[in-house]
Amino acid sequence: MPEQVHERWPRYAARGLLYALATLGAILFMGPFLFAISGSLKSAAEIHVFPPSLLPAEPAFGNYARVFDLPGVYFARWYLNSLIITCASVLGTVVSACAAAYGFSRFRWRLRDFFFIVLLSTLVLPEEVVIIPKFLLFHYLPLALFGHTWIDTWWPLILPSWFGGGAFSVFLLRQFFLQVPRDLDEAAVIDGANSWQILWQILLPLAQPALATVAIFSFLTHWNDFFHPLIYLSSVESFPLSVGLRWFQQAANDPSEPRDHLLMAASMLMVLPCVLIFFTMQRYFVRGIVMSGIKG
Amino acid sequence: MPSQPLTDRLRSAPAPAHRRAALSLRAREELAGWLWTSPWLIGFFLFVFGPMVASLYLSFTKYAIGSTPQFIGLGNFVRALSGKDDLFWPSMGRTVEYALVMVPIGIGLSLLAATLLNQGLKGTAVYRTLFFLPSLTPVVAAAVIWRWLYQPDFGAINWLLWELGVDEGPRWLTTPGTALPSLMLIGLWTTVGGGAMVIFLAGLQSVPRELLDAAAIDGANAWQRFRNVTLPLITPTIFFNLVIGIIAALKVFALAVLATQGGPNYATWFFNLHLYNTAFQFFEMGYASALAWIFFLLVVSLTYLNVRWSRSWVHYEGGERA
Amino acid sequence: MMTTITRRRFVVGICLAVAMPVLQACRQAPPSASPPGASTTPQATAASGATAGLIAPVTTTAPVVSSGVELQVSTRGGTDGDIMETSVATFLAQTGIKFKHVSYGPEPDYWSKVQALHATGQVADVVWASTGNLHNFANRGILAELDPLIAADKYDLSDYVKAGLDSMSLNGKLYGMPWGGHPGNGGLLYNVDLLNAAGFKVTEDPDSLQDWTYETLRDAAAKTTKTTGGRADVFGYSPGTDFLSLNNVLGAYGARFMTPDGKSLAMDTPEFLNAMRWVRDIFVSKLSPAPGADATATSNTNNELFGSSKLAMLQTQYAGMFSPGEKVIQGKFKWNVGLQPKGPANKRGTALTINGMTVAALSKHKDEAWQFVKWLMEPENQVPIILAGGSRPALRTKVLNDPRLMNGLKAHKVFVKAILEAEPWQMPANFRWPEFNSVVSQVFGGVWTGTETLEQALPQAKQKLQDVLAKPAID
Repeated sequence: MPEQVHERWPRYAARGLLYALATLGAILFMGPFLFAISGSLKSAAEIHVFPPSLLPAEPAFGNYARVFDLPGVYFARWYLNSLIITCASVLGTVVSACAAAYGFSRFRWRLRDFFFIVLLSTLVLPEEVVIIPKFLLFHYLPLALFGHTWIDTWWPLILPSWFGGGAFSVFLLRQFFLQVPRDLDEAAVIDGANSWQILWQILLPLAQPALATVAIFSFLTHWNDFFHPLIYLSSVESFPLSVGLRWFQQAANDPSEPRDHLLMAASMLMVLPCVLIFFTMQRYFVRGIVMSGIKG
Repeated sequence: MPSQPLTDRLRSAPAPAHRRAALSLRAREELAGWLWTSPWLIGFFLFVFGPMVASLYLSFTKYAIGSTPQFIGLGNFVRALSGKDDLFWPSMGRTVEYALVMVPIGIGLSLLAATLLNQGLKGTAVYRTLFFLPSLTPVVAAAVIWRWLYQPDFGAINWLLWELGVDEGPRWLTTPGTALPSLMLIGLWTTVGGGAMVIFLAGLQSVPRELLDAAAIDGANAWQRFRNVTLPLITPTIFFNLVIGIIAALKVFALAVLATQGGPNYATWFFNLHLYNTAFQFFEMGYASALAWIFFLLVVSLTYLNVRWSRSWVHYEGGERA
Repeated sequence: MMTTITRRRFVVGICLAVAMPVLQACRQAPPSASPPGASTTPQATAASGATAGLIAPVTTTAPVVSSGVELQVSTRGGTDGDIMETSVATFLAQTGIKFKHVSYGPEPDYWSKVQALHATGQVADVVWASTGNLHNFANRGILAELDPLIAADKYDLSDYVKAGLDSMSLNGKLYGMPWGGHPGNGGLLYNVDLLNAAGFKVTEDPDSLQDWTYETLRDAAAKTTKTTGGRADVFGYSPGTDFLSLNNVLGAYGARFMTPDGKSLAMDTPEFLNAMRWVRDIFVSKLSPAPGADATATSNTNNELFGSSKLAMLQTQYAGMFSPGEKVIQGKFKWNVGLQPKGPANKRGTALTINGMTVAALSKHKDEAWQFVKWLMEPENQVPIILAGGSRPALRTKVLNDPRLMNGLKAHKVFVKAILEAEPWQMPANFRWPEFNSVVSQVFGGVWTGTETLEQALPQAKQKLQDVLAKPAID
């Protein structure tokens, strides 16, 4: 049935409106980044000029290098600290979440279902209710065992990841393992494989997408973590980027060189790895979020 | 295709020579299960259960690090709930205000964004990426960037207002009336377009086309199709986002520390900030543990209420609408 | 299987790649979290250049402390940190005793860090503590008494200003040496050119402001503020909104935050209200830039505006001679630091503010710590640093009256007079000054932005401040 012309216009208008909305959304979401990048490329003289211009007169790419060079701001060290802490935590998460997920999915043992419910409920556990005893634990126990405290070291940040790595990761991997058919397992058992070999040779190779997802989310969680380093660390040189950037923000300016443009550069440098990871691993992101949401 | 686990079939095998092996096979599975899960189990008892018990105990004591805990019964809870700590109820209020705005608006906007991305527009993938990027930003970086945007004299927001004719934009972060809404905007920027939106998108995409087509044939317009077909089918996703969203909103902390330090005049003095200050600036660990448990009970009750309430409106596939 | 081998190799490779930094992290993870040497070496500051030239290294004696044991001195970072970096280097060169400077962060973080580290047994050996928190620390047993160390060393205290030593004492026992002092936020940094253009006859001599009153100040602020199209091009005067700054204005009006015994508030007097209204008026009449999100942000903005001739006057301290200082202004205009005016009570508001150097009670090397503290108090280790910028003079006549300071610094003599006449610091009876200060910085936020009148904000402010005063001295 041929459409009348006057029926098409509302449709085009509606379509156009949708594009306009989507573009508006994109502008609203990207706007702050654009301003931040624009600010990060301005020179010290330009940064406190009103009205501000979106495009700097001459992009000062040197700001990004200057951030690493400022006296009293240990930016390079903070970056490295973040990388070390995050990578160590990610490794721990992947390893221990795999083990736990394997245990929850491929074996039957007493209390398995009970502890799985417990696992799920820790998803809604606010960190605040455990942080004080954890602080005390990381102070008094190492003091008794080794003679010095672990406060102001990285152990409290890294160690918990090696013991379960967080409920989200275990949950995700368990769901994934459950979907792998057991025939392969059984064939391996007949061949005389033990549980370790089944995991290593059969499940893990298949689980690479899920492992990637877990690694990505773990990376983002630890890279962004502000609360824990704030509580456990007090030496400036041991800070990761999150607490370091706050320190940078609070530090007194040299009035001949206001720091706002450098702060913007520093912020963008902190966002960079997250964006890189997203762009290289986009499918795992979406899959991971969806798996947790739909099944949850 | 056998559906029983191998162990069952082995166990039911009649050969007596296997009997001893079969028993230890069952026991071995039990042992293996415990062993593989042991890192998580140890972690749970050491870093979750143990600390929870400890903080419950501490909440009934007066304890500053370095001293010995003194049992004071319900003293901490009385101090909090009776208003003797005159920042307890205000900080609770601020946090609830924040959540009351963040959750409905955040989820609503996420759903809107997901619907938008589900329209099959050209370049949807690009839009989705652009929408998603802010949620990747570390909260510290977001707070630093937005504090700059909110700067009254040189920041982008007041500049845009100036272009629109407003001579002097508000001092967003230093005026008690505008500080909290300013933080809410930052919060919305980092969450709308993030995980919730992606989950909604997946939920929307899983609505069967046939149902929508059938409704269209019956004469339903776009809004009616959405309200009567799509919406009921995505209620599980709404529920999930609601649970996660409420908890995340109640935990707001870093934004206040980085952008406003809890001011001006305690306008952004969130509950977690109050807890942090009590524990790690004033070292009143006993009282802070009580605060933490009050918060925990709040979260648990809200989640429980959410679950109970959800039975009346969440429609699971294959089940009847209650 | 080929796949197994390559996958295994891959995983092993990853493990090694991560294990290396993790092992390195473990090595660096001991309590002192030592950084590589390069990052803490100070940049070539003017201070280091000055001190290197003036002090000839003595023959190095063998280190008093065996290697592996680390002596630490803590400051709040920033300029104090830079000064300390240079000082520890010079001290090492002269005596062979090695101190490591650690920064515990700007205030208020500094105070809680010291307490936390004391509780976990890791606080530095020499701890910077100012009048605001020294009594609190002493009361909690964080600081060592200095009298025994002084007696054992037969150290002569005769040229020390008595008021300075008293400020550093609790219950008659001395806990800190007055490493640097000033009369509170009683400085007025002013731009001579802008004031002259507005009709005020001031010169680079700070005594030219001698007869100013608060009316004069307000008048000058109003006349130097220039606005175009609703936005200010030049601001007149920026008052501080923290305890110390407000205290200065209150003192001039004859008002105080709390009664002399430090137990209750004195905020009901008409003098108090008038003083606070005067400050509010400056903000509400837009003669000042808006207060920033915190004290550092405000100070950063003020320094920048002043240095670019966009702010004619601002309330500052002794350090105002260097911040922003000639290195920023570079002769663009004539300027100096004077004293804030006299108020209706016919006096200036003052509070003897001392930055002290103390020895931690838990220090296992109190003798070395005392040697360092003593060394820091010597004129030779004070004057070059003060001349180079950012520090304040110790409260001993040898330093205060040093001709290099008197002649070399534009406003030193004005401040010396104020220091010697300064009123003592107002300390709550429970020593919870940091909390009191924190509340003061918060509760008047609406008053300065004009959204609340003083009368509207006062009831809640008084209640919160009274709560702080009502707390016990130690938890």
